Amino acid sequence: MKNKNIVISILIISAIVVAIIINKNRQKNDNSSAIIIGILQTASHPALDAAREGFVDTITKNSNGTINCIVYNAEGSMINAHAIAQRLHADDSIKAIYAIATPALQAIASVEKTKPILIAAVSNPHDLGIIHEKTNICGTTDMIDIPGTIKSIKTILPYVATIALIYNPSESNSVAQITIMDKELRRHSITPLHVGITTEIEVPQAIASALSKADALLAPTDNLVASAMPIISHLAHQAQKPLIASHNDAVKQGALMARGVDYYECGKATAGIALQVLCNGKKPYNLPIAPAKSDTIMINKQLSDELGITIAKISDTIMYINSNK
Amino acid sequence: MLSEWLIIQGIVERGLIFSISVMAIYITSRIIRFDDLSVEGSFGLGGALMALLLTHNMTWLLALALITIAGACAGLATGLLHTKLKLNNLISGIVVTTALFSINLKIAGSNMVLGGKTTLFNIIPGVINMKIVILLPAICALLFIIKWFLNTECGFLFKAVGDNPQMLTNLGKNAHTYTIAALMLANGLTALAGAIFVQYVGYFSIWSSVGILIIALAGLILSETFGRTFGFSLLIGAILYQAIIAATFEFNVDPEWNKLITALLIIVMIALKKHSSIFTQRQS
Repeated sequence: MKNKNIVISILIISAIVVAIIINKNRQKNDNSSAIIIGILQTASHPALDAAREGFVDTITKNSNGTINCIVYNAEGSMINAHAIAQRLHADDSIKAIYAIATPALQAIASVEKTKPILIAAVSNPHDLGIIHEKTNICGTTDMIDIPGTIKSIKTILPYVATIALIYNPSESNSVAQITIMDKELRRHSITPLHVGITTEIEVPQAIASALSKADALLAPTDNLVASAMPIISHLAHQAQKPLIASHNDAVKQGALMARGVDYYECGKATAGIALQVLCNGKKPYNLPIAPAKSDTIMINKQLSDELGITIAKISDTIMYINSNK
Repeated sequence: MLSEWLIIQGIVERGLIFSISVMAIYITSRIIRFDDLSVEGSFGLGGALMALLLTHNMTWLLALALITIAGACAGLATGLLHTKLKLNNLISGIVVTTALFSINLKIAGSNMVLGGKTTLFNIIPGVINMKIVILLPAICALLFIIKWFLNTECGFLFKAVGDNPQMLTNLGKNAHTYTIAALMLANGLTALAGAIFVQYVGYFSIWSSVGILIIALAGLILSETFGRTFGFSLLIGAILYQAIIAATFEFNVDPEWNKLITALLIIVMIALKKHSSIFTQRQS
């Protein structure tokens, strides 16, 4: 029977895949004396990946193999994030959880009340109603220095009169930053133009329209914008208009400048806090949630030459980098 | 032992909540044969309204009632677009879901925390970590109510919309009225599921409704390997899909493979069932 053969072959293939996976899984868990940190990452994009790599690299380097990490990725689905959170909570061999970005933190914080939760790439954890006196949450935020960013825009690009703010109105971290950006821009008498995008498919039209109306583009640390950075920078480059981002990786992807957060460094800083909690026995509620460092301006050398921008002398550190093409 | 129980409990709890959406999809796809995509929007609408109403100190029971009505209104919109403006059924659903995304953002923003308000899960003190104790009887009761309703005269007329609309005309009934009514029921149920989900996790996020359509459809298809009538198979299908997602994470491979593994597990499930039915057919 033809039908039956197909079914059987599918079953065999699946069984093989499953066998390989289980085998691989066993090898990973051989080192049973090690402390295991479960990592819950919200989605895959360069900024969050960097936050994960910075953390894992630091932990591996400083723990001499006594701490292992297991990575879980919710791939943007809240429901997956909850399934993973429940799993991490239930697994006794997992001693701590590293949550990357706000949705991951909310999912894990809703089930896990005792194991330490380490965070990174979360902008405003205090607004989520989960930080209290005896909290089990500690780590770093990725809130950027917005007044500083706007000031450097004003110095480096003095001709700019209208700036389009590109963000996803359905990300709470972005909305929080946009409110401050709007206020700061008005204070420097620059007209802000709000451009909301909610899916990657809308990006090309929205950016094209923004570029026709504004002198420059400015984006907060937005997950959607971070994912769509290549196309946004391409369109801005075509229109010969500057694009200012809030995460430093964007400069390599073709943004003109960023005075933002280096997510690899965020991961490293959170890993340092993790080591204090897991190795030195510090309590999470004694460790304040530290803001990320953002005092260096990253500038894309090729692009600033091409746009004919002369960088004025300013007090901030400037780092020139090239696009990775 | 305890830890496995916690994982299984989580799977069953999430499965039970999403089984309400599976019931809704059953009513639209299987009874009136109208592929309704607006469920993704109404799930979010239910969640957004629940967050808003609870943080404005409304009691959860009244909120649930209002939310079911609001969800029904979303269904009404889909139905009217289809029957009055003659929009294709898929487009009507897409339009309503798209519109509801903005409405949900306006209602509750992208993220709203309930912050210790009294919810459905507080009615029996001390079960906050055993939400299944409340969910299981509540969902079963809901299932029985709808099962009973589908056997009333109105329920049979719903079935006629899908099977034989001409019969409705012969009876002097308007098929459009029953299409709209069924869509209202389905979307009201989905909004209810969204509202319960928000109480379950303690916060509303605009992203929680993303993918709910796939969850409901996959749950429905899996349930049909157990039985094609409206009944407990719908709950089992929804729970099974959550189990598949959880199993994917249990394998603990490179996370980039997760979706492929989920897909393979679904194929295996359905293939296994098909295979065994071939077997029984040959015997008889």
